[in-house]
Amino acid sequence: MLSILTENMGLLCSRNRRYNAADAEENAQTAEIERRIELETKAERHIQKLLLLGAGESGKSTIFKQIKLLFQTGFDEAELKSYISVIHANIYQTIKILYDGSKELAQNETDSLKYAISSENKDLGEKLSEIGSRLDYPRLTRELAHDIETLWKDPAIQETFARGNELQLPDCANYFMDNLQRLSDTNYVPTKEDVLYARVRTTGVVEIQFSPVGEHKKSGEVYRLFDVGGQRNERRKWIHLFEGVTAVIFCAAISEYDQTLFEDEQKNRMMETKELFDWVLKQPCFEVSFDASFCAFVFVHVHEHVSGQLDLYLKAYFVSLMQKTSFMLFLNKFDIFEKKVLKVPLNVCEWFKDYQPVSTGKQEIEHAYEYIKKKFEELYFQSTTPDRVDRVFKIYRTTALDQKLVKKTFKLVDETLRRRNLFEAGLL
Amino acid sequence: MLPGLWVLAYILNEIHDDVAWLQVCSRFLLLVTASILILVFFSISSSEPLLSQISLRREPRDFETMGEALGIPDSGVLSQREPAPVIDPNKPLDQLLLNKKFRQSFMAFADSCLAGESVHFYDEVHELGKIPADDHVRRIYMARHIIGKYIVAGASMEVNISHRIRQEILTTANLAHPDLFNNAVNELIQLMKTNLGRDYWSSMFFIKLKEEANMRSASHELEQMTGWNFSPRLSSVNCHDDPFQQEQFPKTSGHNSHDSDPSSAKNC
Repeated sequence: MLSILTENMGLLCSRNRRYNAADAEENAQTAEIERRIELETKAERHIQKLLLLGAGESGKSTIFKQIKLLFQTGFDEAELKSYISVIHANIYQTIKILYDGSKELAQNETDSLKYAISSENKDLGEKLSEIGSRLDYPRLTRELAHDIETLWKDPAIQETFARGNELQLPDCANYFMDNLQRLSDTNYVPTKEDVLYARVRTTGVVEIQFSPVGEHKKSGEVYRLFDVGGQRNERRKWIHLFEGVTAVIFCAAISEYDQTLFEDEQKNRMMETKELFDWVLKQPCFEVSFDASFCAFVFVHVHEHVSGQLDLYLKAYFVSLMQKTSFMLFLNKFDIFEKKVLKVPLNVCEWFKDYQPVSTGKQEIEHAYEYIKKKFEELYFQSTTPDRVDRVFKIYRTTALDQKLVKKTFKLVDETLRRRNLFEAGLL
Repeated sequence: MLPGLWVLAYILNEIHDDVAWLQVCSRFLLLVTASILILVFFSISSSEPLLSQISLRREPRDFETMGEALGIPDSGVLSQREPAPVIDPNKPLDQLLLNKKFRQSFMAFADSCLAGESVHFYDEVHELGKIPADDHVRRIYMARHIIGKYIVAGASMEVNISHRIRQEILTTANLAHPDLFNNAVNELIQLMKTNLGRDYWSSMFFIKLKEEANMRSASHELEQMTGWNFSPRLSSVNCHDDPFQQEQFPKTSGHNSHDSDPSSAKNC
């Protein structure tokens, strides 16, 4: 036993002497391999943070739902069914807004007869307005759906609907009113389209993590997407998310140039979006997404010890951390914009007051869209200091309800972000 | 002190009217103290009751909530003797929120998702409801506090309500009205239902509440559960500058690799 003891003691004492030439080589290699493995797993699991920002009702949560549908497991029946109460709530809220709106217009307008509900429908209106003000909505029965449909078809309500931009009507109003029969069925299960149309005002912050599985299945790209509320009171919470952001997806609803805010009916929605976009662009947190000096230190260290392909990949990883946050501007609600721009001139919005229509039909729509896009580009370059001009800025035309379009758009976003990382690493 | 000084100066002025320098000094003091007193009088806010301003008995206690300061019973205190509730997820949210323990748990969950202001607002309006309807003074104080904290544009915990409802409250003629905040509460309950309603039941906050209900007589250490505040809605926000005083998230195994990312340690 004594010999074992002395042997161990000897080993202990000689630990420092283990670093003779042959051993040193072996140990260095082992340490190297271990370090490589650790860095590789870290690099592979590098999560790219994406933020969905924008004013209220700009389409952020719809994009969020689309991403869930595209890249996660999608909605199962239980989740689809959980939207029934939301859809029914949207219906009750819509008809209440329309009925109350028609009463107000009948009182205030000079040609008030247009907005006067027919006497048979007045009772229906009062009943539905009362239901709409309750905390708990009743289930949408066939009978109730029939009542709502009757009231919806009343000419006064249709006239009020034509002035929907002056009320706080959700965009899904039309869609749900046209599908009342189906939605009130006892065995109704919402379709994916119904779920995308369903309007829920977001409060607080929600996140999901996903990996866009494309042709490059081994890419290891992982995104963490954050959805937020857009109303003014919600924006104070955004600051908690501004650290380490890969890209900001800013949603701007281009169809809202003739509407006012939910939280401030004195303010035009497009003007609010303009000011908000400007504010977001000027945020200092989007300058560098990581501590540059620490990054540089690691960069140099890695470069010294690691070689080959791994070196380049790791370079890309660290450099992506150093990047200025990219900006993706989604000019959203193009489907609504297409229909509206031919009826309501852009100049009702102060920002677009110098707009001149050139033609009609599709040409005019394109012209109007290009005009708005140019306005946002001008705003971007005005709000961007010279040293930030080289950050990535892309504009996309979107309709958040259109799954194919969102998938295509997101693929482009993904490509842009990857190319950015490789470019900065000197690979492109 | 100042009035005393003024009186002293006056007396000196009257008594020693032959001593020139004393006359000058005492008259100077009279003028200075009088002007300071006038300034103080006019700078006292006229909206605070004069009685509390000139009260000599100062209350050095610091109240955590307005409810406590106004002496609302059971305000801010989570009574340990309250029976643990049996929570039925099928009951509507507005009924569940009437229970204090549930409300606290739901509030903590909402805070973790950065959506806490709605629940805090509900809680304080609930406190307001405890003040008798004829006690106008206290009702007005509480109403003004709530408006300043939750309703005014830019308020520290501004809630997400529509323009109309905000204007109704801000332009009301009767701050003591019992139904002043009803519409706002309704709107916010809808908001809470649709945003937080589902996720709460699968959160650790609810599980903790159930555990507490089951362990009502046990002397178990509840501290072991404080590390479980995991919310499926939002997991990776860490910020020391935090109006909602959220807890810092511990590393949850496997899910949150964000914690190992060095950038999370930094703040803007």
